[in-house]
Amino acid sequence: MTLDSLATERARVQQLEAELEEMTVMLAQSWDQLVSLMQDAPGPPNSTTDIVPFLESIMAALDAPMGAVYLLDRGDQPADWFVIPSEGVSFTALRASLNAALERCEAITVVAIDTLSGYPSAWLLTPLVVSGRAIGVVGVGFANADHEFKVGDKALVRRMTERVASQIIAASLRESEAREAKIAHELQIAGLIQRSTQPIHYPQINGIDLAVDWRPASIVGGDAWGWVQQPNNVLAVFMVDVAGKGLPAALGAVSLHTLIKMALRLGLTPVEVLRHVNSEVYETYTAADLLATAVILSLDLSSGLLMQANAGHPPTLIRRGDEWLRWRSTAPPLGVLASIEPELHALALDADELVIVYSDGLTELKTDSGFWGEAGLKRAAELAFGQSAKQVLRAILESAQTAMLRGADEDDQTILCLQYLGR
Amino acid sequence: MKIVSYGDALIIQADERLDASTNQQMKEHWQRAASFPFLIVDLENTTFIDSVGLATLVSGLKLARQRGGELILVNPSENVRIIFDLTHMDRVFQIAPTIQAALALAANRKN
Repeated sequence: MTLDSLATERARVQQLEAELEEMTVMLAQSWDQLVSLMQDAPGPPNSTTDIVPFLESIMAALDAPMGAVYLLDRGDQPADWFVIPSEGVSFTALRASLNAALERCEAITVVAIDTLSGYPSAWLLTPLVVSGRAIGVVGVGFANADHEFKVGDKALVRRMTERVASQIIAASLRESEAREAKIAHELQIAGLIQRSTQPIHYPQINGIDLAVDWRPASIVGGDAWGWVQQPNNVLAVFMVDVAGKGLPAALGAVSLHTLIKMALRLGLTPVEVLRHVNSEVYETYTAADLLATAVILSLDLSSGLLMQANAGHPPTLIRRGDEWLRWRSTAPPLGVLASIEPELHALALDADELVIVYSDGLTELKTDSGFWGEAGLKRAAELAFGQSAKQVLRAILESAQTAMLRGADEDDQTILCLQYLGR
Repeated sequence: MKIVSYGDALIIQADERLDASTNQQMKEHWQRAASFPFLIVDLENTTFIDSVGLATLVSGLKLARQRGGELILVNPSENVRIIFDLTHMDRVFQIAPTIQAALALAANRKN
């Protein structure tokens, strides 16, 4: 190696050392300025002004007199920009270059952008990348169009924009967690409200034995049941199943529960109740694309006369002797047609005859040989014939639990067993 | 889900399942196709329908009637027929054995 080349190499090393020193100082300065901001975790960028403190830090670190932040539209908020100084930088002149940095998703240097004073300037534009997507650009500018951005400048701006991006990601995550927690809390409240509408006590009436299991698929559900003691020693029971799951179905079930209960309290018959409730909900259900099945039974405890009206609900099962009677739906579900005219089923129950009403969540349970079905339900009930309604119910639930495929999706399930004990 | 148009009828071949997993797609198709008063839903391949699937078909029926048309179901499978029967929906929908028969029903209705 010659003396000349040695001198050249030494000069290069000195230059690199100087650049490294400069970079270290800049990083230290910028870090000092950022620390206070880092301690107050920022929220997601609602506007460019949320990012201005970071921009000012970057400008200070590079000793840049001009800066700009540009954020793309964020769904509910339009695209937004901010320049420093506001009277010195033309956003319009910058816009094409900002978009170029966004499209390339990498830092670019641009010279000869006109400032508002008419002089050309030099800019370093670095995209703000969140989860692999450029959501905006941070830029720093110098009034001297010949200004050269050093490797250290670019590295510093890149690191700081990465830092801003990670803060945004963390803040978005926190916000999304908070939103989820709020939704979960509201769902819990909705669940409590729905539970409060479901009967806690069974009617204390001589002549019947009643057992019910109401089981929403999650915190809330689209099934509901209830009972009303009507004049002249008549007990009415009902079950509804609103299509779908979650809050819309639960709201539908709660409102339907209230409507049916009120109509029954007015002493209306099962057919009248379904007719009136259908016309009441038709328009709302049409707007909301909802439908609901409903079945209403009334039992005259003096005579044993059982009556039913059924709108789209699974058949009511009545055990008479060695046979099952099936009372099928005689009208489409509520909300399908503007008016319905269900037919009335009626028969006089004998002592110890069993009536089972259920929602399709039970019969549509998946087993390893297909759906559990009405056949599965009947078989299970037959295991406990001659026992109390509660024991029949338990036998059905235990069989369903055993037959159900593990891990299969479950729907809301409601089952009601009513035994008439005689006059 | 396969979709074709014929005259003023939109013919939709429904998927194997008609439930919450497919209802949105089906609704979007017929809501976008505002110029088609007749919606023909081919249920030949549909082996499962739940209450959400029924609600989707009802929504299509109401939409078609608002447009002066009708929703006609084609060749439902045995499983689907049982559900229509149990829910009394077989009295609500017009059901045709083939797409040609459904188109003929639509043409009659138009005249």
